[in-house]
Amino acid sequence: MRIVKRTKLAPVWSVALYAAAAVASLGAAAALIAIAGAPVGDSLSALASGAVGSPAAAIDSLVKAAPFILTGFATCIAYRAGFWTVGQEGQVLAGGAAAWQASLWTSGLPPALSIALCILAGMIGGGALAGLAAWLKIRFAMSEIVSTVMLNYVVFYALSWLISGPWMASGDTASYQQTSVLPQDLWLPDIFGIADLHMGVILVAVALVWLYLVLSRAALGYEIRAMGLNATALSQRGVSLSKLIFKIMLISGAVSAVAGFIETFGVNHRLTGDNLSGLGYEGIIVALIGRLTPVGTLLAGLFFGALHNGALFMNVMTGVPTALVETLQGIVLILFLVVGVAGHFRVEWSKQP
Amino acid sequence: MSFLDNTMLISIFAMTLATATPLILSAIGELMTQRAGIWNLGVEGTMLTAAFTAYAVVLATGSLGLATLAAVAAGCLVGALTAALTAGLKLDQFVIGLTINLLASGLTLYLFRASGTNLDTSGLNSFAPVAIPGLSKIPFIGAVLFDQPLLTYVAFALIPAAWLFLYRTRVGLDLRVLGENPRVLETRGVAVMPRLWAATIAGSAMTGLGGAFLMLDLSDRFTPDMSAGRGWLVVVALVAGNWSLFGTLAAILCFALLDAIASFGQVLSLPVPYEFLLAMPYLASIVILTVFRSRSGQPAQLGIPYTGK
Repeated sequence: MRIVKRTKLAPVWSVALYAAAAVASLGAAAALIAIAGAPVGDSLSALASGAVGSPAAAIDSLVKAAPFILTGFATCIAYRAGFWTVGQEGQVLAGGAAAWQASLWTSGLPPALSIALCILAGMIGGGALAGLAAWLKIRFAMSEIVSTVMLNYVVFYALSWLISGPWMASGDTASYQQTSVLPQDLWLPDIFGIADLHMGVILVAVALVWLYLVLSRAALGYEIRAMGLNATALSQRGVSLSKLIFKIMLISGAVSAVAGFIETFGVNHRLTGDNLSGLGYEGIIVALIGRLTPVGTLLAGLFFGALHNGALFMNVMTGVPTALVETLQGIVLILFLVVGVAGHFRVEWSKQP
Repeated sequence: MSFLDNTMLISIFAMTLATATPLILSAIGELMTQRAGIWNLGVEGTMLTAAFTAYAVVLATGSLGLATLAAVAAGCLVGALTAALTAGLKLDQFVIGLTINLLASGLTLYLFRASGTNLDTSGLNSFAPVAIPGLSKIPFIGAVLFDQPLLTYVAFALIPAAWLFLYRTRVGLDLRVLGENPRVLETRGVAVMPRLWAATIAGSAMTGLGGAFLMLDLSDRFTPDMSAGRGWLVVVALVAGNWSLFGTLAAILCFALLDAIASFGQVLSLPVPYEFLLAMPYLASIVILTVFRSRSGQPAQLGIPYTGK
């Protein structure tokens, strides 16, 4: 028996391998639920019906998925270029915070204009944070992995100071860690008057189309892919790598920031730390499972958004902790990565020579 | 009041050594792993998994020894998973490290919530300081250096041991060659793959020991994501220290001092927000990396999958 590298993988095998990974993930979910001492069948059916069991549940799932589809897109842009940022988490917080600050500055303006300025401010906030990591990379050759992780912690503590101090809701104590509620005319309106389906979801659709077109058609998309494949060759063609890194990071940070904006203005209607944390890391997982393509990221994001939403219902029904979904995301990603490798090998049975 | 009686200063310096302990243990391990060429970014998740394991075992058995052993075993397990995915399957080491961190964060939170015992931590055992007879009576220095938990002495004793191992033994030399040019070992007939596994598992075991200390000494209860960036600080310390043992340790002591100052921040009533003190180690890490920029000690094969036999 020996293991031989395949040159090309038959689609049937590819489908079979991914199906096996999906079954294994389901098995892992069942095992985890059993460990928690909850009924497996009831919990899984509560998970499913909480996710897509009714139109209202499906809408909630979509809204839940929206922010980390955005951070997933932000991940696609950077990782395609071989720029390993982990800063999406901090950029979501920075985006939410900057948008909140803008809502204070623009009070009195027409609501539509004020909201537009808040988005812009959020994107500038997230972009600036990402730009800082790009600058540290270009000026000091600092690994973006290290700088963005460290900046995530710095931003986390900065936000925690802001919302338990200067921006704290009047009448609250510092332990609430939240601002007061936004004026109601700044809340993102619902699409077609459907409850909870806020306009931020449209931004996700816009971002999807834009990202797809940029990556497949635009010169920038070509440069992004070329930088990921061979940065040296790209620079020898006369492309300034530092400018490109800046451009990619500013875009990636701004897209992440929009996630912070829509959660703050569309869902929570106030700035809180708890509801924004984790969205950046979710996006990285979703983008990696979606193989760094816009459509793959969208599908993975919708799937895990549904699971996150379903898990809330499951928690009420059978008491299974919602962290089941975070655990599953890790397991699914590992299985997909392994399957991706396994697909390129085949076992050849032969007699001993 | 003379300088030597300054109880606050004694507390801060003693705390610095305690906060440094899990970082030193983990950094010694991670240095072994990275010098062997495996770019393990899952330190954070490994430490968190170990801390949770220590929590679960000490809650169930009350035994600090068993809890420490279990944490080390958990570290080994995560290390074996890391080795299988990076050395074995040659997957991208950055992606694997990140995945392990996220999986550990989710899984420990899930198990913690599922155990339902999160409120009953009143009776948790923790390490007691071991005063060294005689030495602990020295003014100032005694209270800072010689009245620490056993694992803190172990961590500092391991520093010269790690140096001797890396730079004065055959196995240590082979380990460094592994990260620079594994073909050399190959031509000498040394099996490379088992050594990559061993370096990764041993490194994660040390991080596991650090996780045990984090849980059993520095905290009185398990809290979600309680590793709080310590694993990442270890990774930063290695880069800042240019992959040398003593450089790495210098960076760690700097982070630990800032951390210790933050933990006394509210008592000290410094004129800055408390959150600013908490953010100091992370801010400092960025500043340190802008100053210490030499990467000459970076193993040539770091992060590059070994493709030989």
